[in-house]
Amino acid sequence: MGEVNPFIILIAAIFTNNILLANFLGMCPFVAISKQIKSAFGMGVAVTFVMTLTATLNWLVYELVLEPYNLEFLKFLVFIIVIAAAVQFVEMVIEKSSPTLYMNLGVFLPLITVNCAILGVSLLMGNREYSFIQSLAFGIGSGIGWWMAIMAMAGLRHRIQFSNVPKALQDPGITMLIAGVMAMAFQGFAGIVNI
Amino acid sequence: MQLSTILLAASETASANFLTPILVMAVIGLCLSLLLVIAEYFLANYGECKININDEEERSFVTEGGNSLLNILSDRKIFIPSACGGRATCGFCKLKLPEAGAALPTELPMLSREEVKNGTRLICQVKVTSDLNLHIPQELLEIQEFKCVVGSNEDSTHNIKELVLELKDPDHIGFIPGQYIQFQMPPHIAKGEQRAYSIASTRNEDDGKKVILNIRWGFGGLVSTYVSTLKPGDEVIITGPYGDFMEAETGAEMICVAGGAGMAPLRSIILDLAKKNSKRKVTYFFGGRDQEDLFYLDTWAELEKSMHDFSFVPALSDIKDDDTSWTGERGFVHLAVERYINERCESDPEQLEGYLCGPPPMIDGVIAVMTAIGVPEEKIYFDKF
Repeated sequence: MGEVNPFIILIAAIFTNNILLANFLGMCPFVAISKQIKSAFGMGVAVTFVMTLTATLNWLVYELVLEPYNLEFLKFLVFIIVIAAAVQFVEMVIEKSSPTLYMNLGVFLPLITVNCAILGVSLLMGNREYSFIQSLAFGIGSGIGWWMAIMAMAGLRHRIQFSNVPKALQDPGITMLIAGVMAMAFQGFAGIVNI
Repeated sequence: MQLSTILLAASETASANFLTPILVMAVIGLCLSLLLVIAEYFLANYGECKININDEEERSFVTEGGNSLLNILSDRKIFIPSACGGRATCGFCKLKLPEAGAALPTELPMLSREEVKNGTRLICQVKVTSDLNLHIPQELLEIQEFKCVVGSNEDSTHNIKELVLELKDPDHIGFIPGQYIQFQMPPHIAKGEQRAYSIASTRNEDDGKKVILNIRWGFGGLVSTYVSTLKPGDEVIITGPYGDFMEAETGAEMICVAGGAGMAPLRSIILDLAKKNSKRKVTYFFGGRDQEDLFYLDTWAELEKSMHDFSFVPALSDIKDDDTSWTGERGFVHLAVERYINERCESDPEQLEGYLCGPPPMIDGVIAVMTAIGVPEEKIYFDKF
């Protein structure tokens, strides 16, 4: 797939192939942290940052270490370790440079380690045989796409805060329904670009 | 890269093929850990920090950075009040610290706008990363740690225990009635956890060798549940005294209002008034649900006889209309206070002083009623918990 323009990948990852609404990855924090717009924003920033960082790091590890030694079967293990180390590193940097942001993100930051959207991006770019630049674009795009989706959900949940939702459907139930409708709406972007 | 040549060599040898993935994993793991160790060294190492207290050389000290200021000070046996144990929920551990940076979002609910501006911080949220100059009020520096032994731990009511602590080292405590102590949890159960409890004994009761606490338990709280299981002879550690809830020595009529374990500081204050042969008029309202919530009734009956002008007015909210066994006030305690000030009180409302201690909704209700009648807000002293 060497010929796909990285910019196309970026746009596609945000809209047509949104990691959350097309692949339904990273649902757990999407449902849990979309109650308030402010925390959703913090989570979105953190996910975007970690996704970009781990997409590039994992690409390097995959191309420079795993492929030369025919060790592709180790990728799950290696990717997860790299993601864990990257999150730990980001946590240390943020704690040192901005205690305020650190406090705002709170427990969301370490939880990104087990966000399946992050691992999903690393695995998908391998399957699609992206180049380094394409992987970078895919990482940024997927992050922004996830960020946008959680912000939209937080906004919608804020609006229905006082709506009369049937008891059995409150909170996670109605959120899943809305996510489904959002996913359908995002299908409207299909065909603009494709990857 | 020497490592990669070793790895290549290893992978080329057919017999060592199974070693390659293990080696690769080991190298990746090693590199990442090394990276994190280096990052930790540069990012999380704050070096030694000098803590300067009140510009007094003998109190100042040098410490390893990276810990919270509250913990560092308590390790040095300097006890700053903190009821929540460092979670930024009580707002007691305030100090002016302009050089430690702006307040964190976790602190903002506990700080007024003025305090945010002048650099006041909750020191449980301040991580020591550089040299600091502190100004700690003298009375806080006098706070001591006491090793105690449980003398008795009896039920006062169905949900309040009277815990009597015998002080061992130091063997007596000086405090002003109305103040509180902090109960330290033993480190093997919950390290660093502490809770504030008002002292129910009064000045020089048993020569200051005992401290009596009223502890409400049974709602699943970590510390109160632990305290409720203490037995005579158990060793515990408290620090204190803390707090500025105390009698203003003016001679004005006092309206005391308490509920539940809020009994403690008012028992201390009123017993002290009795001891001083005070001529102040004191009315003590105590709120509860039913007769089971009332305690120390003998003490109050005795004081009503012996004190110059004292009356105890229990108000019970869950008494049924047709229950004739209760002849006292019915309904919530703030309404009893309102009826008293409006109908029977001889002092001008502006001359009254309020002393309130109890659960926040009760305090808020009483403050609202008293200020509406005309008691000046600055003359209403309270201790919410």
